[in-house]
Amino acid sequence: MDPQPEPVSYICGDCGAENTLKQGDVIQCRECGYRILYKKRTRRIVQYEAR
Amino acid sequence: MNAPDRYERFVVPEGVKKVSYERDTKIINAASFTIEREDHTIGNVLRMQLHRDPNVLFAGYKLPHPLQYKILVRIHTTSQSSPAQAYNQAINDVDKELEHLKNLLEV
Amino acid sequence: MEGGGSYHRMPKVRIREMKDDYLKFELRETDASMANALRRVMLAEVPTIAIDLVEIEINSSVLNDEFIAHRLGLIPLVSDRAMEMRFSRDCDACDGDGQCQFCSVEFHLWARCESDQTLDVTSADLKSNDPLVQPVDVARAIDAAAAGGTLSSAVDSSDNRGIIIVKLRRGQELRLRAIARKGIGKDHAKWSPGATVTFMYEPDIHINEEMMESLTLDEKRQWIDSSPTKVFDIDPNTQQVVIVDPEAYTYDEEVIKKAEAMGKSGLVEIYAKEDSFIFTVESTGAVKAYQMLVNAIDVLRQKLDAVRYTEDADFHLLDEHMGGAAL
Repeated sequence: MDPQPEPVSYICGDCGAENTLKQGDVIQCRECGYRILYKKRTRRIVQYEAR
Repeated sequence: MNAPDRYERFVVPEGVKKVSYERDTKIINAASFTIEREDHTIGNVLRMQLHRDPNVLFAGYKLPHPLQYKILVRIHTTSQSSPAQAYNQAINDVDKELEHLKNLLEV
Repeated sequence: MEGGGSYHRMPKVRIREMKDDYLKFELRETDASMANALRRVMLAEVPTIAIDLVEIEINSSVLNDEFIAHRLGLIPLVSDRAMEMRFSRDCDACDGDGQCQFCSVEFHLWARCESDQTLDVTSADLKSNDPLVQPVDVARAIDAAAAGGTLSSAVDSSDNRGIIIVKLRRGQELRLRAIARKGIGKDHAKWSPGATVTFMYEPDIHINEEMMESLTLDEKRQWIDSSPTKVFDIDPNTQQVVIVDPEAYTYDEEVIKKAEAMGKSGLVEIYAKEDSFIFTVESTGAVKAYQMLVNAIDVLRQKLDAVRYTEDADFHLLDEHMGGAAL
């Protein structure tokens, strides 16, 4: 049912390095060890009503 | 969240008539017009124009509820006229006034 | 059944002052219902064009997507085309998609800050696919450039600097596509061409000269100063009270109360002329103030035309109710 869980990239909140995480990975920057990571913005176009 | 869409204030839904007419059952030459998706802009201007017609004994309008996007125009006339005739005459007269205004502006 | 005389009025109009975005005029020999109908239509039913849909590709600015979309919607666009345009909802060329040439205008915006200085993203960065539909300040800059000077200097200079959408720092980027559509102020205020539209009754002020002369000069001054607006003054030569600006009167009745307090009730009588109106129209620039009035008349006439009552409309319904089967 659940196929290969895709790795998702995150940005480190401290050093700004890009990290790719898979399910079950420890949430920690590989470069500096910082534990706050931010999800990257989608590359898809997003639609909004201008109201 | 559950607010009605704003366009419902001015788009007449399919299958609904813009203007409908209901005769008074007790009084002759009295009737109510229901105008869908209109408000004070049209209602008050029509009422005041109807008051200029000497054959109109009573003319009034109401907006029954702010979320019911319609107005009711009630007209009572003498036997010399009829509500439908007075109503259309009032529309024509306001239109003539506006036509006159437009001509004044486009000189 | 006879009746059916014509009872319409012949109002008069006098234009006092006219600029692109400002109009002051007198409307006479009609009633408040007509004045108010015109005011209401100018504010809420004269159509304009405004951005209605935003597709954001990249946004690394400090403002979130919906915030930027909202700001884009509020930018006034030159809407001279609006009266002839179709509403997306009744455009059959694009079956309700609202993205065809008859009912929409497309804009693109792409800005990226590459320097250490903050970059202002303004309405001038919006690229339209219709030269007739531009942000109002851009159109004004184009006009200024046509009158002399280059476009870029006109855009940079003075008051044509554009409406700021967002500010970017080094490395931030904004990239989007926006669809502008025709709409009315009743739907959303961004479509209203009116900044303010007001009318007032013209005041009719009568001073009881005899009673006024019974006042000392000091009392006259006190009475004049009781008005919060400068309606009256003293003629330096004759020392008589004169009306300097009747339209400054705000119907506050302060001068009437003051006269009563001085034991001089009836010193002044002020009436509102019920068939004379002074209009002030201020436009956002989407539609010129004068054109707003002309369009309001057209829109009101279209509305009236739609509410005419035709009896056969009822007969049709009757037919439907009876159904083919019954007959």
